[in-house]
Amino acid sequence: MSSQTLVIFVSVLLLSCATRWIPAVRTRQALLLAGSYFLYAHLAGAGYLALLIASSLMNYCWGVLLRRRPTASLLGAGIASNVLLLAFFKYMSPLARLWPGAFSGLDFVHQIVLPLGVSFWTFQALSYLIDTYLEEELEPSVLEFCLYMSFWPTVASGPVCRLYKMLPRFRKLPGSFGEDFSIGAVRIVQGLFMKFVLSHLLAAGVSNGGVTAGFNTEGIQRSGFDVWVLAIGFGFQIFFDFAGYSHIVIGAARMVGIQLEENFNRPYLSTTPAVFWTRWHMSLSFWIRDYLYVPLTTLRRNRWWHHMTLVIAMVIFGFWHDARLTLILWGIYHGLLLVAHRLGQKLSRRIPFKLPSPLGALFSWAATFMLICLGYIPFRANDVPQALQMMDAVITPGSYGFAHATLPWDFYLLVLVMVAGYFSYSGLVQLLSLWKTRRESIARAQALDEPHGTWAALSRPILWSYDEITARKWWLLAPVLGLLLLLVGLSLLDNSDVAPFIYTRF
Amino acid sequence: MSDALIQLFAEILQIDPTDLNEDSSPDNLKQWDSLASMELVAAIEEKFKVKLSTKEIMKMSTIGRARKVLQGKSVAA
Repeated sequence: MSSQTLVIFVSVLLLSCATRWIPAVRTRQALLLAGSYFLYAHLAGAGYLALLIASSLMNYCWGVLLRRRPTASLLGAGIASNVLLLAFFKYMSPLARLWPGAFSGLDFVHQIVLPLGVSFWTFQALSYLIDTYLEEELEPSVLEFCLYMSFWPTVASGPVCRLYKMLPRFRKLPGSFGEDFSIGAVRIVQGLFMKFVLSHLLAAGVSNGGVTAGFNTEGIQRSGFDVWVLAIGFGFQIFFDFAGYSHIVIGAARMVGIQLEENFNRPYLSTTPAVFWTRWHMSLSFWIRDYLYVPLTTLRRNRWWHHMTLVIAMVIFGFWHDARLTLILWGIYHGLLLVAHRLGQKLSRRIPFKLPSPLGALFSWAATFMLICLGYIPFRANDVPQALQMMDAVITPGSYGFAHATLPWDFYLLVLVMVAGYFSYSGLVQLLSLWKTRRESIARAQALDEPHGTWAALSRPILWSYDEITARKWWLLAPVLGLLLLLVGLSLLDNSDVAPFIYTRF
Repeated sequence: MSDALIQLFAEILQIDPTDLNEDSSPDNLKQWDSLASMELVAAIEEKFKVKLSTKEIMKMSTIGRARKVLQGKSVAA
């Protein structure tokens, strides 16, 4: 990203913020749409802006038709038009590389560039068509629908929004500017820190031996420890990258006066793979659940099929990322993990023995975290042989031992510090939140505002601090902090070493 | 049917019926996961002696909406 892009981004942000004071809703929507189109044209080019507008108008028309006649055939046609458009831009070029013979004479196929955010705005269009088919009361104006498809904070990589949630937000006047601006600024600062400091550090490493070099070095036999630390390191790199991006987007939208749904909810604290998928890339996970998994499961009413649908949905999820065999393997792995969890759930109901609650939760969390990290090997590996070689190192006891380590010691230390820091912070916040809930329930039981007793007295100053932090009173400092970080961001963004946001590739 | 439907959800989701309301959904109940969704469909079909289509199942995104779908199929409310 160049300084020019950043200046345009900040200008669009400030002008969009200024629309908060325009009482006429349609004028405000029109200005937000103009800002969105201007930024999109700058980032993706006028040609792809025309494509986005064409897709918006096409889906608006499908919506009008579906409202009049909500039939499966009409919905099928609407879905097909979107899927074909997405497939053309996303898969023609990889397919041409895979089978050059089949595309001989079609040289233009190799020149196809993925339009910015095409997956994300297509998913939004599909959710609108399906919701209309399900007879949700959605009647957007053309202006509102075009804004929904192109709203500038979300257009590049989501979160994937739903029209029934966005329409009321587009139609009402924003609330308190001070609160929105402070919260938004802090979210942007958090996101910048996660992306440009934490994620970048993990990718590059301390002495040029980070995740990128670790995966891209060829012709070496990685030890079991190497593979684990690379998998965990990449797990945190992609988390800081994408959750950081989501913070920036949610923060920017909040400044404009639009409150978006969260996209991440401390996913690495999940205690089962199923819970992980309700906390990681939530907007797309829920989209897949509602519009892919649920309809698929209804096709047959037997357990075997229900298990299959989990695998099918996850394979499609993997294939959506990119047309690569490694991502299909990643999808199969996660599908099987969900099936194993489902079978385990059923089995555990029949077994009378249960681990004590904290011990059981700790075991479940550790197992889930390790299994999720293991899944990053096929996700990040450059090809299938590399993924298999790395998996082989994980399951071969002889490959463990620091004598076989190929990664620099400072990368091991970096990952250790990141993991310890993340879990200490997240664990503390979780613990304080549980403590607060418990305290409130005791107070309720005693019919008091504050519970009595030594324990309650001791916990008061700690929870007061927690309340102060969660009440975000320190966010009053956010605008100043935000401005400082903006300057840091400006200097960092011109540094070509910082990789673009990972999910803008998808 | 209102009590019967809530009871059924409570039984399948293994949750206290008083914790459920018309707006309860997979988004606000962690027990209502993908496995539970399909168990709920099977249980509703068996209990109320109805056959639900894909469209009807997709519409049942909250308890209130599930009730609406059943009322639309003339199941006694």
